[in-house]
Amino acid sequence: MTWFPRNIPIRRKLTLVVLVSTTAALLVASAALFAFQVYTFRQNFMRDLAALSQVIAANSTAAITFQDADAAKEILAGLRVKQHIRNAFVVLPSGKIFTRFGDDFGSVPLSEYPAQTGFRFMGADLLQTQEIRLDNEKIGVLYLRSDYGRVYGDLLHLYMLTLAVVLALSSGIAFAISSQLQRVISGPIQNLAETARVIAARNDYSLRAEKMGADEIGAFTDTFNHMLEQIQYQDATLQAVQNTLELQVKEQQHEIAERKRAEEEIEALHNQLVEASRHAGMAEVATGVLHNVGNVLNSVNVSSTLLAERLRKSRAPNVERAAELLRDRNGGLARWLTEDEKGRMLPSYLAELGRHLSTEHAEMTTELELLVKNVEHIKEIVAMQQNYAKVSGFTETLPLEKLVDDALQMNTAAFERHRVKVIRNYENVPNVRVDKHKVLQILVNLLRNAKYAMEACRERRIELHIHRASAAAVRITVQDTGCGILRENLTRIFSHGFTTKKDGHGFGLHSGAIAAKEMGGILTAESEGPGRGATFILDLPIAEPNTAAPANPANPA
Amino acid sequence: MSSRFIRSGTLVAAAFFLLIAPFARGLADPDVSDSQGGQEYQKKAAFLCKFAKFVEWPSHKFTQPDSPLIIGVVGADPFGGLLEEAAQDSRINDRTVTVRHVESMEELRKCHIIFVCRSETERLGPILSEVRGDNVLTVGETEKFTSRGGMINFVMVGADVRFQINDAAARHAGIKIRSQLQQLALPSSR
Repeated sequence: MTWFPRNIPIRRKLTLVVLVSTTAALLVASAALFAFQVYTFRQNFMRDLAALSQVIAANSTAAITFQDADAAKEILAGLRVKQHIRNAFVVLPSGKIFTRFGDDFGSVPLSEYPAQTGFRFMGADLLQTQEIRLDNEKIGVLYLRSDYGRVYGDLLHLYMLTLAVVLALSSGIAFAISSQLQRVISGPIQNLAETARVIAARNDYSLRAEKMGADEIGAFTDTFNHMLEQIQYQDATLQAVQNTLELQVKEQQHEIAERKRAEEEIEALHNQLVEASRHAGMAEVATGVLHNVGNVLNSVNVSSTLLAERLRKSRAPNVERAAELLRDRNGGLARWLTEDEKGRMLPSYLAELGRHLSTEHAEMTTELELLVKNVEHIKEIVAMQQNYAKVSGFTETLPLEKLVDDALQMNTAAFERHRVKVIRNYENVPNVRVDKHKVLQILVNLLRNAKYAMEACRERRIELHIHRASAAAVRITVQDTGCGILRENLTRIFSHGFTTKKDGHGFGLHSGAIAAKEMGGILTAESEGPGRGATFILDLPIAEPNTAAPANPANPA
Repeated sequence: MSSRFIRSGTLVAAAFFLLIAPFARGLADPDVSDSQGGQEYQKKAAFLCKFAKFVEWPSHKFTQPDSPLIIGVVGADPFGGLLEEAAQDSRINDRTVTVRHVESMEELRKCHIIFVCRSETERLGPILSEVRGDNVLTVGETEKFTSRGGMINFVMVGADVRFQINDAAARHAGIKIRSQLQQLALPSSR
């Protein structure tokens, strides 16, 4: 149906549908009727013509028999009322025309006219041949020539005119009726469409289409309204959900803000803790330093006391007295030296005194050198402490052995006091890139923990190993013979607040692990169980050659 | 039908003239050798034989479906054998045609058609009354034949033989004359 216009309003479509159907039906009916009429007309026409000729033939029998041409002519004259009869004539068996009616025969010679009863078309004319028989004797032939074509044409003309008029009338009536009736269908549809348009324009889903009947459109209207209800309901639900969501989002934002604040607080706290731990570490370092300084100060004290005693007991004043004796013998010194007993003894005394003073001088010099050395030691210790007390956060490339030794040095006094045996086993490893304060802090803490863990043990031994862990890392292991660690605590010991010490804070190892991680290293612990010692392993990244600072220290390969 | 009257009027005048003529000639015995008279009686003989084709008799008038049709000639036969010739050639359906010269009244009744010759004009009344109840078609050629109770009367119109029909008499005798024949009839003179 591509020919049918799709973009015209429904009411026009309906009207058009009715019109087209009506016209089509009418045309088909008319065509059938027309064909039937034409057929019937032809049949009737022929039958009438045949009947007419039979009647005339029958009436003419006596006239022919009794050779009454006038009577025969009279009979044929009756055909006058049949306007379509152009001519009629009666031919005797001899070939002679007995009588005739109407115009001439036309161009066709009489001999070619059929002699048997029947029809023949001659152009538009229909020729009826009728044998005239009397008692089975053929006494003549009647020819009737009818102007069939004209009658047929007139009839066709009439039919066409009628058809045209009927078509025009019926189309008009169909149009008038369908224009009214189409509202029955298009009305509800337009109503629906209008409602839908208003809804679309206003976004108002509370509107409802008016139901105008219980047909399909009515059902559609119901469905439409139902859909509107659902949309309205869903809209409301959606709105509610949206409100709830907004509320939740606000709450969540609030929560997030709070959480952020809490995290910031935690961060601040953590920073404080780290700072505290650093301070604590520094305190530990300081304690070690002070201890060392104290030890050296002991030696300094001994040396200085010894020197003071030596000086107090020095025979240096005896030189002064010998000098006075010599000055008193002014003038007679030679005689006194030779003759007087005292004078004679004086040179040997002086020699003896000189020898003694020399010895004393050598001894005091030695002691002073020792004193200087000790003071120098103190200076070194303080310098080292000052070195580590600098602000941390800078990574540098360092030999690890030095750091480990420094850490050991800071605990030397404590280890000596507790008779802890330290075994060092250093392999030759590349330099590491670390924050030395952090490493020192970690190592000091590990050593202190080891010492603490071994307090109740008979054998107190710490083994320190340095070796290459991988292509990118160097490993320091601090192995003790202490009380060991429970398997379930192997990871917990690194969490904040966990401690097994009576006076511990629980952030030593925690901050140590964090510090290791910050440097791109890792701090782990191993233990075969309680009483079987523990090993802490610190992996640190190897400094890449020709690189001042690593691009990403947090990602050691 | 106005033309019919006009034509009838002229025919009546002509017939009247022709009917008078024989009398003028003094009732001369018609001669078969006379060419015009010969043609006249040849036609009349043929007509006599053909009348049967347009006339119906009661079925009992014929003993058999193929019983011959009997034409009786009453009086002086003017045909001179022409009638027998015509009868020889004629067949009415399956019937042959027989011509008899009637001598007695008895014979009259057996005929289907009787032709009352001019010679019997005077005895016309008794003849007609004799056959009245016997379904006989009476044919004559004299004036007033139909008005006197005859059924078909030959009339000459110029050279043409025409006839008058008294249908009432025929019906009265139980004979049916078909309309085709009646259409050809001239109006009866009274």
